[in-house]
Amino acid sequence: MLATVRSATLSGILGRPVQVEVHVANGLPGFTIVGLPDLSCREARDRVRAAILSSELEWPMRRITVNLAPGDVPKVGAGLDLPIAVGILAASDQIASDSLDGLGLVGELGLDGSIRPVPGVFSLVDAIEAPTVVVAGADAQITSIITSGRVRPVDTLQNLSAALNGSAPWPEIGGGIVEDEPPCDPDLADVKGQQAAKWALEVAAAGGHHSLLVGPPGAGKTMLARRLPGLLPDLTDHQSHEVTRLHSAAGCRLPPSGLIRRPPWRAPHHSASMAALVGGGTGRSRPGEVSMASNGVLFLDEIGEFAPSVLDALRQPLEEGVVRVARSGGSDEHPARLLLVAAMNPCPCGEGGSIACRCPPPARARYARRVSGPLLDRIDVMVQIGRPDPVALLDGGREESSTEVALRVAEVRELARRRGASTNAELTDAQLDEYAPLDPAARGVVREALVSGRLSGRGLRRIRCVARTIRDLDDAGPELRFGDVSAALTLRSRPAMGGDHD
Amino acid sequence: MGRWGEAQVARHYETAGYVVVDRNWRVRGGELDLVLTRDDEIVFCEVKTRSSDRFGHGAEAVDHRKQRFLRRTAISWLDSHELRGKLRFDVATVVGPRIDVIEAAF
Repeated sequence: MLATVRSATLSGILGRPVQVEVHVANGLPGFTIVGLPDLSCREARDRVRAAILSSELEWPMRRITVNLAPGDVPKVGAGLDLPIAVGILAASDQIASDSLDGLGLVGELGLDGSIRPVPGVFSLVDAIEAPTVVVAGADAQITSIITSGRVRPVDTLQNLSAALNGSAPWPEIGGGIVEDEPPCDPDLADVKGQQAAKWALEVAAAGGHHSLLVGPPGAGKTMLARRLPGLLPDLTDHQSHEVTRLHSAAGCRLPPSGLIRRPPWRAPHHSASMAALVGGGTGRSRPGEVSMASNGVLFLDEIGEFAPSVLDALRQPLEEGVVRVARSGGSDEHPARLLLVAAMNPCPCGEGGSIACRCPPPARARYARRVSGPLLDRIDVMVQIGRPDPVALLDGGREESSTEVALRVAEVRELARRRGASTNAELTDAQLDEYAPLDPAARGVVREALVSGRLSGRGLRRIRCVARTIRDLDDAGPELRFGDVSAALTLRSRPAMGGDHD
Repeated sequence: MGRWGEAQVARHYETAGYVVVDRNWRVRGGELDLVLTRDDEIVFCEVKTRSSDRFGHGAEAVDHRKQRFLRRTAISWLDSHELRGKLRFDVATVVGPRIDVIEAAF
């Protein structure tokens, strides 16, 4: 009469364990679900009934009460369809209750009894307190990789009930391993000329340094930024699992193989709200763009057009690599370890103080102020992009391709990993002392910059990180030389904005 | 067909020791199919007859609205009768030869 099934529900991007209790009693036929189900969860009533009937199983004509415990956690989504259906079958003695020992279930049901994949299945499987979890057949391969084989894929309710009753073996759903199509990131070789900007982009990619591209419209800012992900190496297994989990929990489409192996690329429009960028929203807190871009690239085109408050909300995540979203209903911590690339024009008309510029000086100054100082302080690579060189544009020779640059980037990242950081930008003070000592000439430049007030304490740290990357790209020698540090200082200096020309 | 089903159900109750007090008692806005009694219990029974459950189970036809009607009608019945006791509402379904009685359905 009573059956209990283990399952889980999503809360933010994490799973929370849920006990599905099903009570089938004498009384007028009826079906109630209690325990804070949301709308799609409440609609399970109709899906479950149709699925049981189309699976040639019997729908008990009695009073059915489903309780989703714990009662104070909101239950979201259709992933509880399957545990509810199996609970009803167990409570009406159509499957043996003891066959559910040590088994968790999660899946959405189709009206035909098919078991469908649910978003966030990885987080859900992790949360379920059972050694084995039944998931949809379509999730089989990928879920099994991420959850180290704890899952049992089943494609229909009918097959599941047969397997639980021992009248049929557990279905074998393997299928061939699906390979993703090779990534088709745009190639750096498409950008003619712009050698300085390309080098700066390479430094940003190699060391994981945030960058800002400033230049007139049509100079190729967006084109260059779009080529940044192509320079980054594939995600490590750990990163790949983390990104896949998060994107799945956020309900994003996953590649055919199910595993995201390339760094994500997120380019929100400048109308983005605070909640869209850092996460939040009503009810369940959703990961924002900074989290979706974690382990990848966040591109903010026309950064000057974003609301200043939204931009400044980026400061803490950029510093800490995580973002904590607090709401009255509780707070969630989402990852935010991203590479920021921003682009903007030097002034509203875009000509940036040249003769053609039509902006009055106050308008230029106002535009330059739109990106706050503290945010700029976290950007290590400022790239000034000029109009492309006509010679390179019309009859330029062969340009270096993304693949060639990516090789160098991968080498530098490998060096950083050997130093104990994931990128040079994340080297700690102790690691910097050990791996980025300054030679006397370099020390001189840095002292001068500190004395003149051009460099803050944090600035000095960042300069050493960037200089380390520059040296790594050159010959990976142990010390930072005069040239490395001056180049890092130049990359960090605020680009000539319209306002600076007065 | 409905009458035939009610007769079947009445016989079913009688073999279980109930006494039929009233049949198809009508008042404005409602009808009680069967009123029975045994010991100190008064049972109001709603009978649903179906030739098959192809169009849904008979008991499903007793929704909240119908339940409210039945309660109201039962009160009118009590107003016009002397009989007192513990009240119970049953729903009986007749599908072909099969009779199901849901005791204390609501």
